Amino acid sequence: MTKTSCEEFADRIIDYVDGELLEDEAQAVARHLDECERCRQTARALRRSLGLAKVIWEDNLAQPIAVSSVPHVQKLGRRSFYVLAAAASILLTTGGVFFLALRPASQQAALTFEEVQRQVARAGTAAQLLAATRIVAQCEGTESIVEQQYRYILSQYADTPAAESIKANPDLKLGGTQDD
Amino acid sequence: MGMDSADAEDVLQDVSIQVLKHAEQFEQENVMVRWLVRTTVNHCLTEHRRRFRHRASRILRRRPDLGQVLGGDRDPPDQVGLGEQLEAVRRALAQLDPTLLLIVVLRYFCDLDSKAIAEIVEMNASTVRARLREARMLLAGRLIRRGIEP
Repeated sequence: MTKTSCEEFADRIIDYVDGELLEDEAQAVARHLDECERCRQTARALRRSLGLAKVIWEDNLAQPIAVSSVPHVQKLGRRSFYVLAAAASILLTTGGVFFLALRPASQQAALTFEEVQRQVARAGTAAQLLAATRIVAQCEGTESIVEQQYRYILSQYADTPAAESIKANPDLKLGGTQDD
Repeated sequence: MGMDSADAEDVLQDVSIQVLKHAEQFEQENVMVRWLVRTTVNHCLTEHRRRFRHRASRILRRRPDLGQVLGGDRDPPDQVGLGEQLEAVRRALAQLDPTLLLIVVLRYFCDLDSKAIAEIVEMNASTVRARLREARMLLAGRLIRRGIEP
């Protein structure tokens, strides 16, 4: 098979292995592949490399799922580090007495350091999301994005002051329900 | 683009901050929307590229069924051969030019067509297809040049 002939088919081989050629064109490429070992090897390498790339991509996607099986507080992003650090220093200074003193006796047993950390981190994350959303809201034409972010905070961080702040805002009209 | 909710929140915040920094540039809504999409996609891609550092041997351990997954092959390679091929493609992906990687991800992993990709990356569709072919040949060429029989 001449080099010129192979070059003519080079681009179409990719479309061929991707199944994007019309029938006539696909048949022409198939005939060339029957006759040319070098292009057959290229076609095999194209299929195999894409198949492996998909496996690698899927493996990438699987990693966060594997990580999500550990406690939530361990997988917080770096933005939450400062919130956690601040919360931890306050808690260590007061020895937890402050929190325990404020809680009803019936709830004291259930309140752990980890739970306090979790709640503080959630409140911090929600507050940051709310702040970012309000910044975006200052730009024109961002209404739908802003509305989606408000809904996200309401649905994922319902028990935080940030969510309460959104609900309490009389100027904020979120059409429909949160589950829309 | 395959992010879990925590990572997606990180991206959302980063992009929101970028919006503030570039707010003056957005005089028209469609300009801003395109910018938002492109910036968000780039942030996601950066995160995925970081994960491309996972060695092929680790992926193989997690995917003992890989030979079957690649189905359609009449003679799937043994585990050693498969590991070599996987590592070659992993390295090629990690080294792809960001624009090429973005186009590959959008086309083959997010199932967008050339026209939709063209809008996101602000190229014309024929350029997108040309870059796709370039990327595909780079990935396939890595297998061929290393003498690995696919």
